[in-house]
Amino acid sequence: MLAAVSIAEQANSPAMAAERQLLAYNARDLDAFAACFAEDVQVYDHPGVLNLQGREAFRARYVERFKSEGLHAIAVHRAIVGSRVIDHERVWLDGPGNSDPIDLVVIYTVREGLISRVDFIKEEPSS
Amino acid sequence: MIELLAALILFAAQDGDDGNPRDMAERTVAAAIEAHNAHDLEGFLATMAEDVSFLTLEGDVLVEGRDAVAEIWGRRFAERPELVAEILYRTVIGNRVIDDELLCLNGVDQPCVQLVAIYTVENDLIQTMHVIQPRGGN
Repeated sequence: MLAAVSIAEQANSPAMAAERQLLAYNARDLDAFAACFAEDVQVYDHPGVLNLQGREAFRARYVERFKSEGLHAIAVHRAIVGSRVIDHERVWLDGPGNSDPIDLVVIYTVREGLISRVDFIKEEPSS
Repeated sequence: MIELLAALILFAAQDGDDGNPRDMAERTVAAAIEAHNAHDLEGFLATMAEDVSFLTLEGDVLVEGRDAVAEIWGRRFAERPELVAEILYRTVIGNRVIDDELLCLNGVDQPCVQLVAIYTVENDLIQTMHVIQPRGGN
């Protein structure tokens, strides 16, 4: 019984939520990917600029990207602080052989096993 | 050949002097942590803009202004002789430095708190630090 509770807690843990969405991203499985996020998920560009809101809007954002067969992302480093997972991620939009990697930091805030907030730290386009 | 080498070295030196935002940001934060761990208040403050602010991820202000930092950390350095921050991992994205760190209030032998700090560096000075702490956020 205790073990069952513990396994359930692990499945709902912030780290598992972040990992599930990374796996779905790499599988380019849009349904599994969207299912990792809360219906009212808020997505910010750091610091605190609301970029989009809601699972459907988030899902729509990735339809085109998931068509790229080479799409691949890895977590180079992952820190877990309370309900938050802070990933240093490296993404190849068109596969490691065909495109340069993009490094970014993504902060996932997890509530009841679902990602309720995402904060992206990306390099700003040089002006 | 020697001229070419000299030109390359000069170029490298200039590159270092001018710095790109990434290197400058990293250097500034490294200096802040070094001063923090040496309990060097002047050195610590010298890495920050006068209107520096420390905030939560949601943007709630925790500390505003270099004077407030001076007051709080002056007291902290005096009260906690073993205070030290250990950087576990550092990422630099443009002019932002993201540190995964252990903050040890009473030295590394005592329980430490893991937190993530996001520094935004402008003109070689820390302008903001967003901190993600265990009990912060929803």
